[in-house]
Amino acid sequence: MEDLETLLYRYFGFNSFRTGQKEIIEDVLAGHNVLGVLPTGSGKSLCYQVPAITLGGAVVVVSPLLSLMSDQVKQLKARGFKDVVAINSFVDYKERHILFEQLETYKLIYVSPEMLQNEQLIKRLKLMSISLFVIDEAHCISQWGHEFRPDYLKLNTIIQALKYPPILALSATATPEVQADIITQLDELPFNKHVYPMDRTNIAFSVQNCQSKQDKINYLEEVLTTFPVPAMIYFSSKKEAELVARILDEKLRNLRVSFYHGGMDPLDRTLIQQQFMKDQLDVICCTSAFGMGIDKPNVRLVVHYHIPTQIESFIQEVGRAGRDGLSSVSLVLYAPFDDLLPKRLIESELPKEEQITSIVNALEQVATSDQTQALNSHTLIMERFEINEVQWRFLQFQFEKHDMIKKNQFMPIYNKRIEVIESIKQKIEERNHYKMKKLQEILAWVSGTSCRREQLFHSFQTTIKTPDFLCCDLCDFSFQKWEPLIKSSQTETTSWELELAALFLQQGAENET
Amino acid sequence: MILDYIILQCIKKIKSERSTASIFHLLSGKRSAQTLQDANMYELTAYFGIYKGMHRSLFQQQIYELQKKKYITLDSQDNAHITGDGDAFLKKEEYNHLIKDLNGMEYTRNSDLLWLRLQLWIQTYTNIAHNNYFFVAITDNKEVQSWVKQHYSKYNVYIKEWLTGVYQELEYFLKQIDSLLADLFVERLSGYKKIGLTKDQLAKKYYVKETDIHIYQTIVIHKLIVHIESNYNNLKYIQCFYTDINSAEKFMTDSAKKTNRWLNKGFDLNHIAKIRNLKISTIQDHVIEIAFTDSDFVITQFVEQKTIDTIITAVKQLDTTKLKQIKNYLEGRYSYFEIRLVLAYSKTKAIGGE
Repeated sequence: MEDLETLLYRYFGFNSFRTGQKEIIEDVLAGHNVLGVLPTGSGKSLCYQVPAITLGGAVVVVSPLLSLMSDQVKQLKARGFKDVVAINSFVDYKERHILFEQLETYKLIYVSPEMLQNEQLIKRLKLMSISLFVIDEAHCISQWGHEFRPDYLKLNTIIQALKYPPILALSATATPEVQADIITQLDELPFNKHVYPMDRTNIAFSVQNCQSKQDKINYLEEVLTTFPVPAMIYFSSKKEAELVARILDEKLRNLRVSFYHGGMDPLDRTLIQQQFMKDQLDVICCTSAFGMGIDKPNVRLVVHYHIPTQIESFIQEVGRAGRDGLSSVSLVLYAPFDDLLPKRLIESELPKEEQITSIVNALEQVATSDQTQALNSHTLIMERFEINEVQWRFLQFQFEKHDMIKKNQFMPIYNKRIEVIESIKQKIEERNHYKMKKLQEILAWVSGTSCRREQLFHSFQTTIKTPDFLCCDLCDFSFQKWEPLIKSSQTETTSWELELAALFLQQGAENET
Repeated sequence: MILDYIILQCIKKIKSERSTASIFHLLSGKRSAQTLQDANMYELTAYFGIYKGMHRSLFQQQIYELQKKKYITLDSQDNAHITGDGDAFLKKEEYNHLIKDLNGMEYTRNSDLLWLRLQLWIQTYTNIAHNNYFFVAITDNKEVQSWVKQHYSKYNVYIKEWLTGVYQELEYFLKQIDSLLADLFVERLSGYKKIGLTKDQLAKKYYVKETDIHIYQTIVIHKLIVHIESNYNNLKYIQCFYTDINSAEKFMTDSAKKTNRWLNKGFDLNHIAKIRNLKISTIQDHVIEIAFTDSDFVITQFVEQKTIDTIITAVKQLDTTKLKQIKNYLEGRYSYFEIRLVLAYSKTKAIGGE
């Protein structure tokens, strides 16, 4: 067998592994269960992509991030690794059937946690030899993780059904508390832990207090005029991302600004992503939908126009800056009442306590009536009670826990009703309380008075590395001192005739290479 | 503006006999029997499916703007009426040279496929010509990807020749059309070290509304199809992107196709309804759809020649296609099915109307 470095170069074009990758891969290849905690941008996915090439049998990757899945499948295919497939709700029924039929021809199978509840799929997987079972975003399995996914709690049953293949659990944002919980939820199996520090030494932190929206925009304009660098600006609202992108595009004539969010059509999304990757765009105003699986090395500035709902997401988004190791900055813009938007987001993630009684009563009626309804009528429930997909996921899990749903059928619970209602209400209160606590953490960080780097990372690791350049606005950072690499980007206007000729390598194309 | 113009033209032709929703279904290419019938009945087949994936809210916004400009008024049933100002705007015929090659009913399926093939082919060949085999395909469409793959495996020793050939033929075509159309076409293309612009970006750059970008793009592709069809023998390269999709069946819903097969086997309507477990009215809808699409379809198996003549005379006298009006005029002697069928028949034979 060729050594790992040769393989890395052949399939991925890299000369050497990044911190942690090789150690994890070697442990995985030796057949151990591994828990890997690596900072964003360190190439987590390589830890199972390389084994997928070398190991016999198939590697199954469970990931809740559908867009990341399809991005990775595209990229792998672009690199010539074809035996890869993503099975999720984007795949329609017919296509899914065909995929299941030929499942054993794939070496790397991405699958959403919801899809793993499909009995047909499990049946197929059981017939195959699974050489590695990967749990991506493993913190989702923990109730204390910021992105708890009820479906992740069922993974241990699936692992059992597959006769305990080696497991690789990966996360970029697991505190020691969450790490322990991950192992507990996976039946206390023996795990080799590889935990790497989250702090990146080339990123400086800064928080700017603003008075208003207008104030934020003015400040952005000022910073980007002085430093015309590749930048990402995060928003919690699609509308605002579009609006600010338009304003900045008009004001900053020497920079190319655009926006990106989940509401755009898929082709436009691919185009914007690729333009940013190829430096055809300088500034991108985006929601959290952007950036997953994007490995652009030269992002110099990550701005949070809105703050996320917890520190973990913040760290993940900031981690997209300076992957090339050069001096980069995280900038948070904070105005009075900026805590309201994340509060509203948190509230929208769970159903209201007052709704529970009427929903449970309605379902009980369905269950006790003659016609038993299939669960796929959940869209009807969602419509009737005006609950969204995220809220339904929570409810479904609760209903399954209380035996109100069995094998996709509503079951009567009779006199247990009051007890169940109370229990669900209590769960909602607990979750809300927990999320508000997480929000308070990031709010406290924003208004902090001591080193931001220490405050940000202290719950993830015991020691903080010395920064390569500047630290934070509470230590030594100010924009006057920042000296990022600035490349001038020129947009020339040409005619379609010239552009077409250049694209098709006609005339003067020789002097290009 | 061009979308306004097209919608206004639809409103004028529909003569307030249908709600504005029918125009939305027409433009977004809804494959329902009703929409196909409307397209034929009101001679709006050119606009069928020219704006696929349009959002309902966006369409409503267009209608609202037309109202605000006082080009149309809306009645309580959401039927639009064109005003004098609206008529004057249409009479200027500003966009006629652009619109004249649109042929939605005929091209809508093929044009999407042609455009995707062209884009992916250009992206693939220009990258490979630079020895870059790693790029993210601009479309996930499996059909299109495998078409490009097949092309490549057949011609991979002639990459330079193909690039030059396609370039020359495209340039020749683009020189003949409006320069704005040519600009939009080229800017949208992706290739080696060049990622195409999004519609939003094109709109900003060329000071055109984003909705119009969509229409312009449809127009270029329809023009390209016309160009390929009429210069078939002189085009050595770009015709191959189109030839094998051109053989697609005429436009009919799948369900109507099935009914047609049973009809051809000699079954009557009641019988087919029973076999297919559908309502008789649904089967009747299919018959009307078939009558619209197939000009050789014989309707005397359902209505007598005398009835046909009577209904056609009534339609001419009333100068309307409103079913209820026709039915009342003929004192309820004929069913809606009979009237609709005759209307469909007369459209394909180009009699009646006008």
